[in-house]
Amino acid sequence: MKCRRLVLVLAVCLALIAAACGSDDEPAPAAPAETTAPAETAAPAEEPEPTEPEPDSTAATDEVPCDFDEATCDYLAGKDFSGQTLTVGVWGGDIETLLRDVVIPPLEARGATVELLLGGAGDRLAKLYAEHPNPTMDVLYLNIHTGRLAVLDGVAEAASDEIPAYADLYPIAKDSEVYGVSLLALGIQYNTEAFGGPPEWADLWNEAHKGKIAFPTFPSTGGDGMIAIAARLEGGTEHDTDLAFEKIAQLKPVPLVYTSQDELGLLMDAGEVVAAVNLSGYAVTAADNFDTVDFSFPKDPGPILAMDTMVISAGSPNRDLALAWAQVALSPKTQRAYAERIYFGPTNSKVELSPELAQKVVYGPEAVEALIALDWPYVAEARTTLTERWNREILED
Amino acid sequence: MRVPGNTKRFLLVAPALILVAIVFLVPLGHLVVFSFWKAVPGSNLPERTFSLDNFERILSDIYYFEVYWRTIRISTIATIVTLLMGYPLALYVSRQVGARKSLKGILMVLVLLPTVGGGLIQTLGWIVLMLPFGIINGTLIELHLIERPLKLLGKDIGIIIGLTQAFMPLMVLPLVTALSKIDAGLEQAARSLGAGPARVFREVTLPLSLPGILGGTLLVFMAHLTSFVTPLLLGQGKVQVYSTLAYQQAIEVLDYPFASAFALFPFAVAIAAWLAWRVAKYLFRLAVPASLAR
Repeated sequence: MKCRRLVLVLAVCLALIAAACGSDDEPAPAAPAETTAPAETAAPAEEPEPTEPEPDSTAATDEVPCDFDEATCDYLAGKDFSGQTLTVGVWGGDIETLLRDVVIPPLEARGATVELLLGGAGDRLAKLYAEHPNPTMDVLYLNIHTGRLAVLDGVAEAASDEIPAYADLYPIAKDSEVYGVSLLALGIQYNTEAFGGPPEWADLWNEAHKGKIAFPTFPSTGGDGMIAIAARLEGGTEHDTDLAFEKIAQLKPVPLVYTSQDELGLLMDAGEVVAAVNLSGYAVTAADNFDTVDFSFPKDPGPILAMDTMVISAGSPNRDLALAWAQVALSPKTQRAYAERIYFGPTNSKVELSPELAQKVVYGPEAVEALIALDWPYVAEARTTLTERWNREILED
Repeated sequence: MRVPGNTKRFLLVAPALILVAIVFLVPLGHLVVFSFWKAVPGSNLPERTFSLDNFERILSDIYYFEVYWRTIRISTIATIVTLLMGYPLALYVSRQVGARKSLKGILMVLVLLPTVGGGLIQTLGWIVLMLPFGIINGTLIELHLIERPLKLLGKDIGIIIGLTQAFMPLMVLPLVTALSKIDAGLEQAARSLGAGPARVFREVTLPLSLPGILGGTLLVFMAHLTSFVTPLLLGQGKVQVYSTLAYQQAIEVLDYPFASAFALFPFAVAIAAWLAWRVAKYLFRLAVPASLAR
């Protein structure tokens, strides 16, 4: 009898598990499905013709053509990564396409296999901590403060001057122990029909737009930025959270918490929301896609600095290859591609952009100076408290 | 060699037992351990010492109870709606017998079809339908039934609609099974004895289908309580429920200890309530002799 009961209980258990995991347990789209896709499909569009002369390459032993700058070609010269597989955790979409077109081909030409693990930064970071000290990812793309934390916690190694590109990075891109990959400004994406011209931060609080300002998710760079801006408008800084939350709560009701750029662009185009705090790269792309959408770099206070960063995991089994990835990813050619294709500002000071393009991206030391850098260590430390308050005071009606 | 019956039975159970142990009990044990650790501000590495801080935080803040309560409320309403909508459907499907047996098969396939695509695709579909100027609102406005678009996304109502659709098969399947088992002769007998359709349903069909109702309701309610994609997407990040808050704490805040405690707390309450019930029953039996109790 006992045995039969056990079978029954187990069957019920399995049924319940199946029910719980059944049709609703798909991965979160906020953090898009992690898919491991081999990079073989990448179109080798950027590969030069084999017949092309090779002025950059100085190493006689390097038979693989190289169309990067001299420093990068020298660094890659004679390297053979045959049999090594590099796993890179990164966001999907435009960034993924760019990496497949520009960064992966020179490494594959030297024998490496590169796998991209696509998803949100949170998923990656959780995986990095869980797998320490035997990481399955060699390189991770993170945001400005989580990258720094990973280095301080010892799960990722600090940025290294072993690669030549490191010396060319702007100081801001070396400040946080990580490799700064792209500079972005947190500004205002807005519907041009709702505003006379590019809005300032204070215009978001205009009574006419009440209930039409979309919010970023929290915690996020956008959310942290919103706190910093709201507090600054009231004469404080991100440390004055009471001031900030009181000010942000005045924007309620929240019409939308945007989890994807497409969603935000569509609803803004339809006039359902008129403005949102957003990152320059994404917002300028949205401005290209929608006639009624544009992006403002506010002046009073200036935009908030945001940066995509890259780390090599501590104990990466393919450290040499990971360093080569870092060199190629930070090389002027890749960095220019970021600016030209997706309006992400270069962190490499050797990159030169046309004046028209420079208008749309964070480019050059002066532009970086104009950005407001948040107290990221504080923001990281206060994350739990800030999230609790955001949940309660902003999201609840 | 003769293997004793008990051992044979155990061997049959073993694969399931091992599977459950590995994929369910081990991670659950991890969660229990995590929940007593503590997050350190300014680091993502938890402090691995025993601490009740996480549970204190849940108990001392009404916000977390509101999230649990909202989850239960949404799940309950959605389950009731699923039952009310699923029952007639199941009744209709179960009556396709004899010559119309093939229709039953087609209907069952249609009921199950949505599960093939997975929850994500269906939920994304609902977003398109429920947008302020989506198909639902657009149609209602065109018909002059409403003037301003109804707010469906980012509200409880949107999640309830999504959940009702997503888990309908879990309700319909046990109901069809239960209803198909009812001997048609019983209903005929009731009718021949003068009972009207309402009375036949109330006194014959409904009571006999109770096992299906119980099974379906339980399955659907459990699925609703723990569903993640539907509240995440249809709640538009504004409606925090059990699963989305646990996700936020684990993946976005990276506070695994608190996320574990938050996830386990209802489980702990359920076990405590069950134990209390057993103890109370035992004490009652001790205090009151069986003959008197009767």
